[in-house]
Amino acid sequence: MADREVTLSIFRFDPEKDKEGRFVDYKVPTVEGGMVVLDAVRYVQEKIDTTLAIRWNCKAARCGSCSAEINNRPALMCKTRIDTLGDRITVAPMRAFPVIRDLVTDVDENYRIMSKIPKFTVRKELMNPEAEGKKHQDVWRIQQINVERAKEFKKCIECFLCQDVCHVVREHKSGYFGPPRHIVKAASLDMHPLDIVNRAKFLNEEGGLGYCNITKCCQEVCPEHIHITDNAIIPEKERAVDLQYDPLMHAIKRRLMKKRGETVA
Amino acid sequence: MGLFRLTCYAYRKDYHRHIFSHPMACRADVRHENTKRKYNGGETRFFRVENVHRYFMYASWPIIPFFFYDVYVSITYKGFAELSLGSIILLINAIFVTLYTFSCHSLRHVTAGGGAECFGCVFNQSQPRSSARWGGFFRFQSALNRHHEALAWTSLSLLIFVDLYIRALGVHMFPNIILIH
Amino acid sequence: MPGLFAAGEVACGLHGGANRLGGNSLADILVFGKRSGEAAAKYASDKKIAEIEDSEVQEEINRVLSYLKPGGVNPYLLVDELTETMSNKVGIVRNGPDLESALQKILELKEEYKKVSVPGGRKYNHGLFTALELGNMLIAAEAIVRSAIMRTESRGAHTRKDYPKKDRNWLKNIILWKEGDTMKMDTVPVPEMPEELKKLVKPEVYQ
Ligand SMILES: Cc1cc2nc3c(=O)[nH]c(=O)nc-3n(C[C@H](O)[C@H](O)[C@H](O)COP(=O)(O)OP(=O)(O)OC[C@H]3O[C@@H](n4cnc5c(N)ncnc54)[C@H](O)[C@@H]3O)c2cc1C
Ligand code: SF4
Ligand code: SF4
Ligand code: FES
Repeated sequence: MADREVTLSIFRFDPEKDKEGRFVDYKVPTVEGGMVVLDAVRYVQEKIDTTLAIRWNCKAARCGSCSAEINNRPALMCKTRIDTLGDRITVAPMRAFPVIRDLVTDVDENYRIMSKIPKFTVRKELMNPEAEGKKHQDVWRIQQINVERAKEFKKCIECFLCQDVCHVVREHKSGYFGPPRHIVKAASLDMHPLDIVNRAKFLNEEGGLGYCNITKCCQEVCPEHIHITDNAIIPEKERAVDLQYDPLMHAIKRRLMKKRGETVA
Repeated sequence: MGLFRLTCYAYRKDYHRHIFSHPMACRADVRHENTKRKYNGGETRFFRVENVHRYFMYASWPIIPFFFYDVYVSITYKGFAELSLGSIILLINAIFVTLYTFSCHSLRHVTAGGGAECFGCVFNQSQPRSSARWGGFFRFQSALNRHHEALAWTSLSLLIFVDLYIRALGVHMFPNIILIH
Repeated sequence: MPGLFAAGEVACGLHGGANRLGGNSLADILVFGKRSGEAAAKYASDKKIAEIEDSEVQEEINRVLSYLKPGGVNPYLLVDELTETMSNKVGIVRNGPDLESALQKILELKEEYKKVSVPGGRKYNHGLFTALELGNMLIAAEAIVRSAIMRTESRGAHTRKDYPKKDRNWLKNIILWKEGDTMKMDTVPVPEMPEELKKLVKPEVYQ
């Protein structure tokens, strides 16, 4: 049945029992070409060792829970085909986050950081446009181009692979925001036409936007092919320049923002 | 022009990765995690200078016409019009330098409207119609911007090549090939 | 059951049966989600929080942990067998003998299930989840097969080779409940479609 056999080298670690993790080899017959790494790891879990801990849900690159480092490259297990890899495949958990057990990591930190990002704040006028003599349907209408800009970021499935690959996140462990995922989130709000908060200064001062040096690893690994660096981080950096480094633009921006009732977070 | 390139978002990737190895690459086994790095400030501290990229961009704008002026001179310097291979190369060079300059991320933000929260919203703009055209420009520039990295390297290599080529012509290493006389 | 509110997929929907056409469930969860949410909030604000005996909690904890011991039957293998049975014999086009043999297989697997256990601890033990889920899967599978055997007609996504026609006498829902260790079943008539709706749809739909 099996046309070839691959060796999976899987990271096994239980922080309560083991001092440090180790790689264990398992042999897995690959049945057909379309098989993905997740299938192979599940084969190990079902047929060889049921105590192997993994997290997965949709097997369709939609839920973002099966993130791992496959042959040292952060990727979704369910979106990486076996036939694109060699006969020896290493599967490790995401190294930027604490391991719960085996391939399962604790990504809670990301949600804590996310909750610090200033929330969507709707323009006041939108709540009562009639008071300004404008029609409800006019002010809530969003142009296609604005939809396009924000839609890219809405594709994010919160797999946190970008956080994992970013060298800044790994170098500044304590309290560091981590650019990719959180800036994608902030940018999706900043570019939302109905929102009035500008988050760039906040990101630069508290989020550590300046630490990112545009090396684009996050953009390389994003399974949703979001142009994280080009469309989220650089525009946010430019916004921060507007507010903090460019006196000319700052003067213009300040007047415009005052006119439109926008605030700086 | 040099400073424009040095603070360019495309080159920033390349020199941070390959000159400062910060990080070397994205894969865990080659990203040089364990080397003790003295500097991990990213674009804070000294590299904060990257933030004035847009001023270098403004400064490079006036230089662009000179590239085209060079093409013009190369055709007419003998007193009559003569199209040579050298002029074509100069023209290609001028076009690439222009595309490179206008695919800039800062231009995208400042001029093409990337800095706006909203295109054509009633509460944002007084003239929704002109802003729709502006949106079209933003789309066009964004398309160029996607190729900024490729354009950066092509134009830089061309620049060096053209410089050497013209110098070689100057010392008569080989004759200029005349296409239309 | 007093105090149980359901909407969306678990409530089996307003279209009945296995209907997953695009947009239907979206409308379903919006309408019935709102209605049941509001009703549940109203109900909850009138009532006190129910008491639960500590011994009952302990009993459930013991039940869950009882699966944790090495040397039992691997639950994944039973899941595989169940999946195979359901895919091959209880698919879209069904017939009596296949359904009967599927039921037989499920009853065998239920016996086998009593021997299931998994090694490892409580932390992220997928084997334990599977052992727990398998019990529910077996109940659901048995209910599906028993109702499919009972419904001697073809309707909606339930197609029987041996009863290919829609049967007016089967304008009924099948209900199942637990009595001791066995599954009991009966039918209840579906309410007649209101006249104004009848005007909107073809007669085949409500006959
Ligand atoms: C692949 C696929 C494609 C589909 N495409 C469409 C489509 O195009 N159009 C359409 O209209 N419908 C579609 N559907 C159907 C539709 O998505 C579902 O019917 C609908 O989402 C069900 O919503 P729900 O709120 O009832 O249940 P769910 O969305 O399943 O929500 C159930 C919730 O309960 C939680 N839960 C479960 N157990 C517990 C517990 N013990 N304690 C606490 N919480 C618990 C779960 O975490 C979950 O959040 C599709 C379904 C699938 C699978
Ligand atoms: S581009 Fe910036 S955010 Fe992305 S991985 Fe590199 S340093 Fe991190
Ligand atoms: S931005 Fe991309 S890589 Fe990052 S969490 Fe979202 S989907 Fe994953
Ligand atoms: S299992 Fe859902 S993204 Fe891989």
